Amino acid sequence: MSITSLAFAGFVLAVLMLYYVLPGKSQKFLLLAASYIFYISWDWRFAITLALVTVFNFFFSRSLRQLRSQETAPSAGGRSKKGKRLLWLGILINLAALLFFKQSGFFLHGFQALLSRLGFPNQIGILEILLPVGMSFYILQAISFLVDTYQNQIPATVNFMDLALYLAYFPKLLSGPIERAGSFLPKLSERVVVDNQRITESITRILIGLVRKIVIADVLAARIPANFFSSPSTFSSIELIFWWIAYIISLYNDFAGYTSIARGVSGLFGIELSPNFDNPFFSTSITELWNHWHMSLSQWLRNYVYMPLSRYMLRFNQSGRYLPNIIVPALVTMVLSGLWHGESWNFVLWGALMGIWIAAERIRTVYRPAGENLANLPPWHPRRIFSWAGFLIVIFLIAIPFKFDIANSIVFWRSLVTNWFPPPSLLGWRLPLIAFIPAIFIDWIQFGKHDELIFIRWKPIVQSVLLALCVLLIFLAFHAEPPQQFIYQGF
Amino acid sequence: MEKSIHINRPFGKVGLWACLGLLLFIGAAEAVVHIKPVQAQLLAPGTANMSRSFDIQLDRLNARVEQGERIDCIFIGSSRVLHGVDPNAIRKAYSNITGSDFKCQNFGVLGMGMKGSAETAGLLAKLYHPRLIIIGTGFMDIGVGLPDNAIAESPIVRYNSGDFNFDGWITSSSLAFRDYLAEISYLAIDNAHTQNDFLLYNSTKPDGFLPLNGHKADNLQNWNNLNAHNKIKTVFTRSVKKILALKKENTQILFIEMPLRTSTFKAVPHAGGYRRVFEDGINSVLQNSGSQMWLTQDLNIVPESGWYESNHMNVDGAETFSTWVGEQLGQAVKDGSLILPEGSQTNP
Repeated sequence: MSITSLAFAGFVLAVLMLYYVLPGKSQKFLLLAASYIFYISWDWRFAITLALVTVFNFFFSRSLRQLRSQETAPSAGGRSKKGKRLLWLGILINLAALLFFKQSGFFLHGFQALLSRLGFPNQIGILEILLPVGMSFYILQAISFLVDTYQNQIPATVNFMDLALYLAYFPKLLSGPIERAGSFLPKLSERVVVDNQRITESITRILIGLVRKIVIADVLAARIPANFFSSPSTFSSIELIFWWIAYIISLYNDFAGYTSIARGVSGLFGIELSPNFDNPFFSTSITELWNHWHMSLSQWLRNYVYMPLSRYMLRFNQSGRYLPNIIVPALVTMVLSGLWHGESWNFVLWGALMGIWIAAERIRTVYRPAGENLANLPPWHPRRIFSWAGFLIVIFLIAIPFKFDIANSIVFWRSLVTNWFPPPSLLGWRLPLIAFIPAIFIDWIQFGKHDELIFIRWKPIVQSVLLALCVLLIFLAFHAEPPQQFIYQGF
Repeated sequence: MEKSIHINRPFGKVGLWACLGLLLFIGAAEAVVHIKPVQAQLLAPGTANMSRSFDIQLDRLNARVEQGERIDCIFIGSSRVLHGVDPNAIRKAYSNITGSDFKCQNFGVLGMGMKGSAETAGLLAKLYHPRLIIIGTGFMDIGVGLPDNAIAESPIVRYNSGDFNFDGWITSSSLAFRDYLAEISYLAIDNAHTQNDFLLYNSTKPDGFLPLNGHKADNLQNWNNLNAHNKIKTVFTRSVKKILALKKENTQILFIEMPLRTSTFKAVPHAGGYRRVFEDGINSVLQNSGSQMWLTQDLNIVPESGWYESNHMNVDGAETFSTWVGEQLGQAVKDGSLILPEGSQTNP
């Protein structure tokens, strides 16, 4: 059941109607049941995997909490390492489950290649393991739950159903946002009123999401030439730039659209989900870009990888200007981010490049005196122009591993430099250029006022026109191109 | 977790105004596209998921019916029909024999096989109630044609065959939506070659005939791999039966073999055998059905100069062949071997 389908709309409406009439405690049962029904609509085996992960983490967290309470009791004399070891075990088991499903192909292929190179016959069959949709998202949340339990950031009263709902909550199940347990679980106990304001905001988010997905992302994705990713050398440089921009805008709007719909749907149930995007293409550095792109993953990585690693590194050298303290956490974090995104070396390389770039930006900030900050230089200053050019190249890099392997990436960049011949036809650019208009409009307006819901602050008559236009555009675009699967749904 | 919904009035005014605005806009768009000078500037309306050739044919037929013309006969088939059947020549020849008028519409669609013809015949019988549906076919139509599945699964065909769906309903009901489908298909074209193909069918005449002038060199290699034609397919038989079922709708059905150029037919290995398979297959279904199959290949109706290439007649060949069809129809109606119902044609 895709979240842009009419079936999903009907499903949400049915659940909402029940939700509003049921008393408080039964609402959680309803949401949990609805979440599992939604997941089973994809594949019943996915639901079993999720249930097993939930049961494991629930009982594991109880042991963890018990141990922690013993360790932190005044009689215990402070922390012992038992709790931390148990926490690590829990994290590793969760990661192992994810690796089993997600990375098995990557490692087994690598292992097989190594054996072949050493002259061993090809004796192992590569396991074809079906990755449950959304597993990468809920495993990170399960780890968040264990860590937050260990750090006592979760109320001791969290029961099995709360945890099950935290992991399975259907608006965020397939592609996030990745919620931190410490901030999500208390919401399940709050009394929230779904009033006019919340309904308006939720419907606006759903509409923005549908426009992003159906009017922008799907139209662009369908228009990108079929052989663009398989044989980039056959395209002229101008075409490569154009289609690559189209792909990046499509990728962004696909995911931002999903998040917006998920947040809107959740808002109708009175549960606020975290934002995932904040106009990332208006960032002025890669560090800033990652603070505005897939924010819930960036925050998770910051909270559970970057910060703990930085603290660990500072034990050996407390200077903030010590290069390993700057480079290692950024590099490790981004390589892990790459591995989370995909089970291939190009994602690892991509993560490393991002890590190096972020570290370079950090070094520049640390070592350059405040007065020489780039932001204080005029826009035409060569250093600012150079910085912008670098930033554009990295933005270009962002989506590379989603579609190209390393060999094709090289062909892509080489062709970009060498293929300066006129494009044979610009006819195919017409629809993408039309799709760019709402893409630029939405982000420009939101960024200008730093308000993603700026549209509902406009005059009612303008809102009405915009609403009618949105509905019309969604309907027309839906009939222009076949619906495409969400790109991040595959993670 | 106690949550409740609290809606304070007034609420939803923006939504109501948006609905009203949307309805006004749709109404205005519908009115505008019905204005003749505006229509003239637009592409022929589309139907989604089908060939452009199909869309143009539907538009041409619709235009004639809207002008109040009564269409007696619709000639359905592939490009061999599109380029080989001249309704005007049929009308003249028929009139010479019977003394009465007989208006035909060519509904030849590029690449359409028997399955597509059956779905199209069902749609057109439902929408236009012609007295006679002629299926132009041949041994090349034993397999499934390129646009056949798209035609069969298209919303408008499903909707008109009783399978209600919103897309089919709106495609059948709204000219503005059909215009949008055509314009968006045009915008989606990404190269000049496809654009030319798209626009090629614009030259289709109001009666659905798209004449070809002159001659083109043959490439007999295209005819070497005809193994797929050595056995009658279930889908073919089922499609013929589906067409015959339309007789219940007060429409006569006639099958006419669309000939190939004689020299080509003789040069293609096993062509005679394939044709016998086709002939036996179709005759086995037609037995006792009250419908006929007119075989034409052996009659050498079209001279060598009447061929554009091996598969398609040129404008002269089309006239010769269509005149023959018109004469045969007139004769058959006159001597009572082909009974045409009165029909009850209405505007769709």
